[in-house]
Amino acid sequence: MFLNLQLTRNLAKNVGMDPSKRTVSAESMQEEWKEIQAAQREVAMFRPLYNRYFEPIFRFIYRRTADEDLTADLCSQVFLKAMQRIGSYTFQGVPFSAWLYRIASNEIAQHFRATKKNRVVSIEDEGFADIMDEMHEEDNEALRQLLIEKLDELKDTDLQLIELRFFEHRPFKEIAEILDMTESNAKVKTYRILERLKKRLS
Amino acid sequence: MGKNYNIKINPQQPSKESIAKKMDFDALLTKYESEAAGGTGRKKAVVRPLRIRYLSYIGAAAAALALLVIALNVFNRPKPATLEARYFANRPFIDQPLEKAQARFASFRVDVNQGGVYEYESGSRLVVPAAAFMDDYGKLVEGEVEIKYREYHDFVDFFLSGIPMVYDSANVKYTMESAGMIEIYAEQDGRRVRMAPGKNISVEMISRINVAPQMAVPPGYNVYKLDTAARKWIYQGIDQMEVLEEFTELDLQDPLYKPKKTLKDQLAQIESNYKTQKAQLENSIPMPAAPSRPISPDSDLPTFELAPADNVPLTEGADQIWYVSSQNTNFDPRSLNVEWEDYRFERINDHEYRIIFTKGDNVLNILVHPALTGEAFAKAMETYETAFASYQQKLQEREQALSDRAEELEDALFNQKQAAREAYMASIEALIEQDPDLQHTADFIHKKVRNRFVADGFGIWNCDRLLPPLMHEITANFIDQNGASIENRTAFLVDKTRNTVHRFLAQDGAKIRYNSYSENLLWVVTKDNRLAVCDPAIFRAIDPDQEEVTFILKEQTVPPIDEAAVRSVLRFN
Repeated sequence: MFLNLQLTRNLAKNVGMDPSKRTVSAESMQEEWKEIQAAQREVAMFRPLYNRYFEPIFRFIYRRTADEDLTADLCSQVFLKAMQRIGSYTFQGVPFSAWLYRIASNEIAQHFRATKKNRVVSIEDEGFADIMDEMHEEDNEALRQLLIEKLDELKDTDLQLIELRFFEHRPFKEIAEILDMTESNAKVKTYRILERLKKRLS
Repeated sequence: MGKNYNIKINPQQPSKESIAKKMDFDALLTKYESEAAGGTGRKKAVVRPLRIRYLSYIGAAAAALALLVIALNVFNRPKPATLEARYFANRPFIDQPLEKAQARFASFRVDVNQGGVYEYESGSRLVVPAAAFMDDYGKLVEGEVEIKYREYHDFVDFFLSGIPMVYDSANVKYTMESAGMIEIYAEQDGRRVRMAPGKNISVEMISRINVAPQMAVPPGYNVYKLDTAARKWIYQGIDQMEVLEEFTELDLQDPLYKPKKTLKDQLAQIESNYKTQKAQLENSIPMPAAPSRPISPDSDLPTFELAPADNVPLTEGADQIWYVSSQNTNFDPRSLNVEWEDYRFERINDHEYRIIFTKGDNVLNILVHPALTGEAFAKAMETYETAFASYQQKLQEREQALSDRAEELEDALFNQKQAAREAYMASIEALIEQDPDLQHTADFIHKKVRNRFVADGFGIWNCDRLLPPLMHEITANFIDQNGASIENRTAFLVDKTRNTVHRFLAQDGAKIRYNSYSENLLWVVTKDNRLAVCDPAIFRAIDPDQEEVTFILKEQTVPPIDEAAVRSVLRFN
């Protein structure tokens, strides 16, 4: 393997998060499946799902648009598409939210493609601190600026991994579900991107 | 701001209250309904022609059922659910419906001292360790044992096996959707043997699973073992599943054959391009040659001396004395006393040679290495260590040089596959818009997978995931083609999109759950072992608001004689 072992060990710690609060148990998924089936029979029954996921999806989109009105429009579009496609949704053992996040990702990408504008990437101080810590780099202003430059050079798929992991603090399991990849693939790709960033920062 | 992204540092987040103000499900629902009415949304329900055809049956059956319900109340009979529980409690746990149509066991003979690797006709492999079996008294078994093995892959297999596909978790029953099941045991001289403690058989079962087309990775399956004494499945661990083929089965009759075939071909082409590029990449930087390690002096090895000559390689400090390598098999020291006519050296590496002695037609090959003295050996080791460090450095540099490019190739592979899947989804959405029935065939593609797990005992092992009960429940009655009621028989129900079989008690007023978004197949086995099968069209004809239905099961004229006969009857149209 080409990985830096020290880096790998530290990443495995799950920086500042409690994965149990961010992942969905099999029982909850199966409970939710009943609600989905109800919505499949009668779309008005989609309401509990809408109430549950509106805020997380809104925040997910807002981080990528930084515009409340635009977020509200896209969010509405996401749920409309979900309702239109609920009939073909099948239980696959992954949380329903992952399906919604994927629709949201597509809507965001479609919006920025159509408007030919750059997608927003939101980074908080905590996100900077976490990613610097992972790379064993000192968190200072100069390095932050450099990191921003290097993040800007990443491909969208790579940046999404970094965003979901370090700026939104999602566990790898959830990241894998959103990006439709295996958990180990999500981890390996994240390590590689970090390795590359570290190399470019030095 | 960056040139590719609009990077915002510490942006202000909207408050919970502000987000809540944006929520308006009723407005969304109105929009959904107006779009649906305008023809851009999914149609709510499809009225199918067969519905009318069966109305008369349904009406007659409903009237008959009303009378029956009154009668049931009069005699205060137990509820259907209670009757069903009693019925199955009194049946064998593994309840084979047709004894004659059972899958055959394959048989592997295993030398218990060696173990071995055995391959089944499906491509599945069993890795059996040495000394893995014991008898009933705990004594290790010697000699040969015979492993009996068979697999169950689809609903016909599950039906014929009689194995229940239900998982009980704290009295909540889940249907198990299988990615394949195995049955394995071993015997010696006709007597069953057990797995020795601490031993296990590694199983690599090849199977096919249904996956939604938009999903790249298969969903998580677990491994369960059937406990026939406790009459339940026991969770064993996570199924390590690996996709072998992206898209295996294509049916020419499938109305979506063309887009599916296109996707299959595209995925195969992407994979093939990736392999070619990966091979080219690895060949672009040749592997550095590894230095050979000097062989340490060993006084126990036979030695011989050769007079200095042109064809004798010179090794500093070796004094022309040669060790006969311990790698020579069947070396006879007396051969060194023979006066050979000629010899030549073939260099293997800096420290190993092959000498070929000849005398007339006699030839002797010996692997040898120079007998380095202590000091010369230390020096040779020093040279070797320097060369080895350089070799490792070059190896690392090669890996580093390859890794970035290999990663780019992997990313490209992932992105190209994703794009192909998205294009497929877009192409079929348009078709489904025109004909909503196509949704049934569009829902799943088949992937060939390898399930890896470890069996630490003999019995029935199943790679499954749990499905919660289906939402659509209906009151059901069952009659044969002559209108006679079918009662107190085990009924079997299959949803085309799920690799499982659900069984229940056929009785008037039975509450059954089915997938109204899929094709369904229902049947029973009559007392004289004939199959009585319901036309899947009856399911399609059920109105979404209908509460009760009578299923007409057409009896076959003769019992099936084997599995093939069963398959010819139990199939979706």
